[in-house]
Amino acid sequence: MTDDELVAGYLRRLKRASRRLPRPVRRELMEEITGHIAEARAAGGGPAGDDSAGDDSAVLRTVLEQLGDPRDIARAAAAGVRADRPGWREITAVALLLGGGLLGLAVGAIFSAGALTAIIFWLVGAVLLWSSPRWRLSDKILGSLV
Amino acid sequence: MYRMVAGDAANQVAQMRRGVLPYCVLAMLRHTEQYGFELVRALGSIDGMVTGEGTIYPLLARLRRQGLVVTTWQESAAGPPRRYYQITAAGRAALGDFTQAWAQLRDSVDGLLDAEEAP
Repeated sequence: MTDDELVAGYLRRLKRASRRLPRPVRRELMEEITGHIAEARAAGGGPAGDDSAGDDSAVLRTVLEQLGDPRDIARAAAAGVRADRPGWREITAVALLLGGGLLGLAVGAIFSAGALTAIIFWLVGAVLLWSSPRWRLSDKILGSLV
Repeated sequence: MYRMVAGDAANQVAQMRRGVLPYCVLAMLRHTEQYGFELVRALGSIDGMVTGEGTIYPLLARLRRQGLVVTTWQESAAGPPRRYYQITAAGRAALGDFTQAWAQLRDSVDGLLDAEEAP
């Protein structure tokens, strides 16, 4: 197997392992790993590596080995994307803050206490908003005002 | 719920390492911007810091999505353009918070471990 085939095989495995990632995330990951391999090959395996002829394949194998299993890289990327997604707390807070007033009025009209119910819904939303670790203080103040 | 078993320490340490890695990256960018390969190689050369170099790239991408770093493309004399990573004000703030919390945790844990060792 030639060096280029070795690289192509590695990138193919990474592409397959990362097929479930959002497209921009996957594209950036492929770009970065491709760039890393090119840089590492150009550097010849680091300052300690000698440049004797015929050692290129050994260098490349070390480079790919140090990068690790493509599946591990894809898993790390997927975990990062998952961690960025909003949880139930955020979704419920936004729903209650935005829709709470309307929903509260509708529910409350039946019991002729619309304003009170709307306020309760809004309060629950606000509590969730403030207890969420995901938003910054400025976002929280803005969210409550809206 | 959770039970500690012998041989589990290595696993726990690996998890801790994953937890502190983002802040190590931020610390490395504190004084100078770096491109991905350079950053990854520097981290990889620290004993026991990373297992697979490739997993650092998803971490860098996440730091950027969180606004803790920004990236710029810069021409390179050697080959294709490089993506440089630069710490943001939010990144510095996060690093500052971590630095404080880390010092406190380290001292507390050290205190307990040292007390255990004493005769």
